[in-house]
Amino acid sequence: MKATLPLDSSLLELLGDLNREYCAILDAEFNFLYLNRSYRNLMESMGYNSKGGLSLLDLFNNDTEGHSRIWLDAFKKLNPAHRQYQFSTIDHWPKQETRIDAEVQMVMESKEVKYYAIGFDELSDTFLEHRFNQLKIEFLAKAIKVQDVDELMWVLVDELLSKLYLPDAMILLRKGNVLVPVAAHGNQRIGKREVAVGIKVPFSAGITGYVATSAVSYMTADSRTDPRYIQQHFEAGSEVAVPIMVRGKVFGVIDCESDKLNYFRPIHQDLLERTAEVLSVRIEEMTSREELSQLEQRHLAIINSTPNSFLLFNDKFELMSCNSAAYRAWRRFTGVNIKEGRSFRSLIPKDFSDPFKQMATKALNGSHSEEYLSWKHRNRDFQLKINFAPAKDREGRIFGLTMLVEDVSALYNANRALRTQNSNLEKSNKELDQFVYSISHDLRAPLSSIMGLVNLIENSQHLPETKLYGKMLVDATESMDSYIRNTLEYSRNKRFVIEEEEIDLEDLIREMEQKFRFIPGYRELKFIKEFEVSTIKSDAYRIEIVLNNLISNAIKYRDVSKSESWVKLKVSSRENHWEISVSDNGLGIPKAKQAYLFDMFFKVKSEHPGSGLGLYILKEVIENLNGEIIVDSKEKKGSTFTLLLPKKQ
Amino acid sequence: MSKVVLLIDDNPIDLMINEQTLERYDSEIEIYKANGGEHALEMLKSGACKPNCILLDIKMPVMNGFDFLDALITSGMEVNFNIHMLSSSIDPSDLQQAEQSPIVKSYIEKPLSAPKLEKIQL
Repeated sequence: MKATLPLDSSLLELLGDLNREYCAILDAEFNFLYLNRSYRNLMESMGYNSKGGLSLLDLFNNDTEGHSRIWLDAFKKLNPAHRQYQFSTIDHWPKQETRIDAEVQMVMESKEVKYYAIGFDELSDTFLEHRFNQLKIEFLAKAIKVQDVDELMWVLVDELLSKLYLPDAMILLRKGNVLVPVAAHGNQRIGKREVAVGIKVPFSAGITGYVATSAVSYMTADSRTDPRYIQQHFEAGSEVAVPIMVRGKVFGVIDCESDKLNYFRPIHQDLLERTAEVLSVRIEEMTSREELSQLEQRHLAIINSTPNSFLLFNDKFELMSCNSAAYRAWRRFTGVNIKEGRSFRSLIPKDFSDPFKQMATKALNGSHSEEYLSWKHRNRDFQLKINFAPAKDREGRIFGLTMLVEDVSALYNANRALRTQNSNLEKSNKELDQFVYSISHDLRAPLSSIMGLVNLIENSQHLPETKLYGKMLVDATESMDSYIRNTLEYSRNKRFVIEEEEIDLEDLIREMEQKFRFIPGYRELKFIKEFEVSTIKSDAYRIEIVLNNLISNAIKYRDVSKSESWVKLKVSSRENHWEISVSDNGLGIPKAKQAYLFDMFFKVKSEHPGSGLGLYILKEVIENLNGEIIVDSKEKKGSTFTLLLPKKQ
Repeated sequence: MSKVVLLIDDNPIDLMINEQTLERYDSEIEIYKANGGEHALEMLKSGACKPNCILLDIKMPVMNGFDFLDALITSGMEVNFNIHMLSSSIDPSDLQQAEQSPIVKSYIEKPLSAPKLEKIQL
């Protein structure tokens, strides 16, 4: 060895790169330029003076154990394209049958070899144990940053190769009924990650299959003679495989092979088993975290899918969290923006702070409460159903409270509408009952008169008397007839929907006049028609009822004492309504009776034939048409009924 | 002593029928007619009619039979006559109301006839 080697930075780098227990640097002629302390001690213990100039070739001539030959053979593997070579072999330094992991490198300068670097680690059990501890620390440090299981496997194979000097390592994971390699490095350390794709090992086949099914590790000194062996990516010599157990089940297998027979020792099997344990702890952590986050996500999905607002407050009444609906809904209800950390009081409108505070306090004391509140914001009425409940941790301790706010406005409104409808329905049922009894009475009234008259006729001996009864019979029959007709009109008005159409009143009146002709007195009377407009838009059936009522009344109640009787129909158009008036110079209605005019069964004079329903029905019909009727009448002068019909319904 | 009966009905035909039926039943009966509750009250107040018996219709405009009964009670007049409702109504509520009134003796369905008069024994 030459005096002192100036260890320049590039050489230091080279040594650092080797990072071996034993390392040295040689020149192109294989003279040792530098030996580290361990190597120097080793040399000396083997009887060589490392201080004098020492050449590998000298060593080669002397060392019978073949230590130097290992290097000379290794140098042959180097060329300008491959300046580094790593290998495992069996050495006889410092003692017989020492497994070493060795490496040679070549440094070139202008196409000439300048240095060789050599280094090796003695793979003693103690050394491997020491390296395993390093593996554990480094693997765990790297594993924390890894979230993907496959990625984790790559981290582990890297560590296995670099720390335990394994010639080869492969991790196969169980996917259904097969084992699939997810990470593997061959017998040469390479930076690139590649897995022999397409290999799927049946779950029960080969050594890995055996390990996977039996869940115990297995080592074979000569895999070629082992019945469990199936050939994988090279002709194996020896093999060791350990199961990766996760939650009591086989998750995968770590498999290492060597082309050398008897390469693996019990320490390898032991360390691989311990590696598998380290790995499984990490996988369990990852899967349980994944499961937890899946559970969290499911819960979030549930509470975020509801339109109801969930808010969680701590025991200081500060908002801890809420679902996504709460942000939108709360703004709508109150105009207040929800923000985590805000106080309960700042979120609740002032008018409601008391009931809210009460419920919230109750919740902190462990009881649930439910309240319906009506509330107004920006002219919108809200009906809110609010539930308070204590929020408990795993141990059941109350750490805050939850508030669930449900907007039940639609339901409330529907309910209210339903109630109104129900009461209307009850009312109309009652009315119907009333109506049926009234009908029965009023049909029976003329009928009982008829029966009475028939009784009288039966027992009558005088013809003039009988004639009078006959006249009365006709009146009673007519009365019954008009009653039945009116009942039908009333019922039709109640049940039929309004059908608007264009009505030509001139046409309609012309048709109606055909019927008026049969009313006694019509021929003696003057019928005046004034149409400012002839066409209106309304319900023809109902308009006919109204006109028939008004005009036939005017005919019936004409004043026969007057020399001339007239009825005048006038139709005119105003801005928002049509005006239809029927005037006459008939008997008129006494002021005192005008108030009862539209009552059911009211007759101005009881001796008038008829049902007393005509004007009652007329009023109902006009109400249906959203119209209005105005009466102007003076006894003995005449009456005017004016109907106002809105142009827009 | 001859009996005095007051007929109250808004329907002139029925008034006539009732009058004729009563006359034929007992020609001794003195008959008064009122075409409504108000008219009858006037007759009673003025003393124009002092009946032993009133036959009262129910369905009448302005003041119906029951209104008449109420008015009679509130008027403070002494009710020293029998009142029978005489109506074509078969509404159970009318019957019930008649039964509940302390001054109504019976309920007769129209038309009035001799057998019915027999039954109530004027």
